[in-house]
Amino acid sequence: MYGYGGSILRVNLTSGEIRREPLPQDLARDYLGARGFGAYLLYREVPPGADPLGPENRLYISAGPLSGLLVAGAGKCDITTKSPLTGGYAGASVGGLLSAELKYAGTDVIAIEGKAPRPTYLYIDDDRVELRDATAYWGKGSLTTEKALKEALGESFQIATIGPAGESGVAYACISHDFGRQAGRGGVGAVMGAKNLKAVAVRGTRSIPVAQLERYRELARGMYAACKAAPGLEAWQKYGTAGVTTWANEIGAFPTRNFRSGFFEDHSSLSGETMRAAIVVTDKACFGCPSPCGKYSFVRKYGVHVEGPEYETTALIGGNCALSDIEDVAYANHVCDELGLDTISAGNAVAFAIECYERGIISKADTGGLELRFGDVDVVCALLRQIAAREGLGAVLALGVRHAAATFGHGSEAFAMQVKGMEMSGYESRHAPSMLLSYMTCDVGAHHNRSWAITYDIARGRDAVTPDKAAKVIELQHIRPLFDCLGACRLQWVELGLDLGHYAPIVEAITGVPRTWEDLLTISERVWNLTRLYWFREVPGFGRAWDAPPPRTYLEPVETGPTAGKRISREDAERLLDMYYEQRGWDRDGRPTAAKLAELGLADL
Amino acid sequence: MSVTIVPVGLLQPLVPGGSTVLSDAAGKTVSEVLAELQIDSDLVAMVLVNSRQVPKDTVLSDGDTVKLIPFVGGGRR
Ligand code: SF4
Repeated sequence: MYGYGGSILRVNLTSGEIRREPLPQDLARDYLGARGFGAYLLYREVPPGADPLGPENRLYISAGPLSGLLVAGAGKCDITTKSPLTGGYAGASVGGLLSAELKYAGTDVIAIEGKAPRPTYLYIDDDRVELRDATAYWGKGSLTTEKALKEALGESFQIATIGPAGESGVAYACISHDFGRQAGRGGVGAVMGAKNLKAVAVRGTRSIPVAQLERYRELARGMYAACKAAPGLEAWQKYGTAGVTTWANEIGAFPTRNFRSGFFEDHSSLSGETMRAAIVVTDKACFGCPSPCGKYSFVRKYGVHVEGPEYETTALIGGNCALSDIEDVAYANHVCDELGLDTISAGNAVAFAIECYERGIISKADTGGLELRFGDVDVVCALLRQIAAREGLGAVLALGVRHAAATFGHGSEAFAMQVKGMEMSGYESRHAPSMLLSYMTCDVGAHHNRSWAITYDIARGRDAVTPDKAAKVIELQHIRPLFDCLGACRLQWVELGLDLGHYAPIVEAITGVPRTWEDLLTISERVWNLTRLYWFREVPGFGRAWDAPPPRTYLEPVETGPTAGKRISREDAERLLDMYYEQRGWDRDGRPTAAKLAELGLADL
Repeated sequence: MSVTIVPVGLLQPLVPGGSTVLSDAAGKTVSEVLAELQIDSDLVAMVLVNSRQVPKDTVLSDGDTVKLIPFVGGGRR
């Protein structure tokens, strides 16, 4: 099959059975790849009501049709499972070299089920696939494990691994790859840990068949040339996503002290320029990337290396925990990476705990004598370690802020910054209705990557609550996750302005299947509706209430900075939802209508 | 006695000729210059003065080259 590795590799950890199935043609036709494959297989194969940390849950590691090919940024890999953090759909994307290697090993999807009787890692060397003993690696950090496996197997193996947080079942444990890239969100690492699966190591040596070789080469050259000629390349490459820290503060969107404010008074000490000058050693890229956004840093004060911090970590560990030294933020980032914690959820959990302490909702009796305060890197790192070990206060925080708020009570639900159980990523959105709607309706919880609409709010008026804002969110929710189906990075489009017109022709040249951009967007919409159906199936009573924003956004105005005094009303948030549901073809409870499902070929679900 | 303003990508059409040399910008902040050029400051993701990123309250000096980097695919239009 042109453009694909050609198989699903099925691994049953309980029985030890390993087998390959040919990739079904209609799966590729209707769901394209990566995120699409994961969403479909999760819906079809994991039994309704499965315990996310039980053996019946499955973990799908998937590449897309562009992965591993000569396409700008074609190194994204999707990891899909039922989330232990939210109880719903989890789809996490990770860059690096994993998806390319998978394709070279003739594999589009690794479907992992069951639970290994002992710590195990999955070894894939083309057709040689084995379950190997990982006892020696169990308990070790993600970075340490990756290095050890590379030393044992060879540099040409690509490794995905969990750290202690994944082993202990932290609900937002990540899966790590390439020394600092993470499938961060939704607790995919905890699912791996619950299966006693420490790591996956892959090497592939095959090529990927391409339908129209000459056309593909020409289109690929055009794509790279456009990226290299992009006038913004120099700036984006120099600073990566950390380049937006200054801007986020200037517009009052930088989460600060558990989202009490959108402006951090010490933000200049966390800026891209500060970071570049103080700690960055070199640039680091994913497979086939013409615009390396990764910044590999050395943190002198602590003597450690780290990839990053990228913007989200600077926002949630930096501003949100009020750390004002880039070296402290970078160190806490390193600690998260080694423990295998998602920095976004972890930063939220720590900030939430500190606010609870400041308000007297929890005390030293709960913290084991630790005095919690913002701006203290030792407090942050102590809590991160407790979370990963699920000890003391960490045992509560390890299950996410929704759970922590339910445990602590006393009104703390109002400032638990989450939607559907997932902690909010790095944009304070009380004065950005489309961004807030993006968080409310994102299909994994409060994450920005499905729709990043804050610039639309700025362009169209930040107070406006209008139907075009819902339309923009929907449009972005189809475009951006389409990249996750393709197995490619979206930043060449978002940052460099690479024209979206590049994509359909190259997909067509690679796969030989005629497709327009609109065809691709239809697939993306199909996947969006499928993940929505999954939520309805898995979460009892699921519906509109699950799309509500965190109460802080409508109860409390922003405290300081350019957006001080701003908040969105609950009524406006509900109006946004009404507009959004109507335009999506969903009913007032947010359920896809029969007509919409029929239109998308999902009538049988 | 001048400052060169180089808007990038989507910002280019906002400045006639694609870039401009301002003779009276030294001593003003980047924000003030953006306001004079009628560029929405909040849509400028990064400002580079002589290839280094600066905040928009930076005061410009004679001979500076100011590069304005926009967001592109984040849902602006
Ligand atoms: S822009 Fe960044 S995330 Fe995207 S492919 Fe390049 S290095 Fe990876």
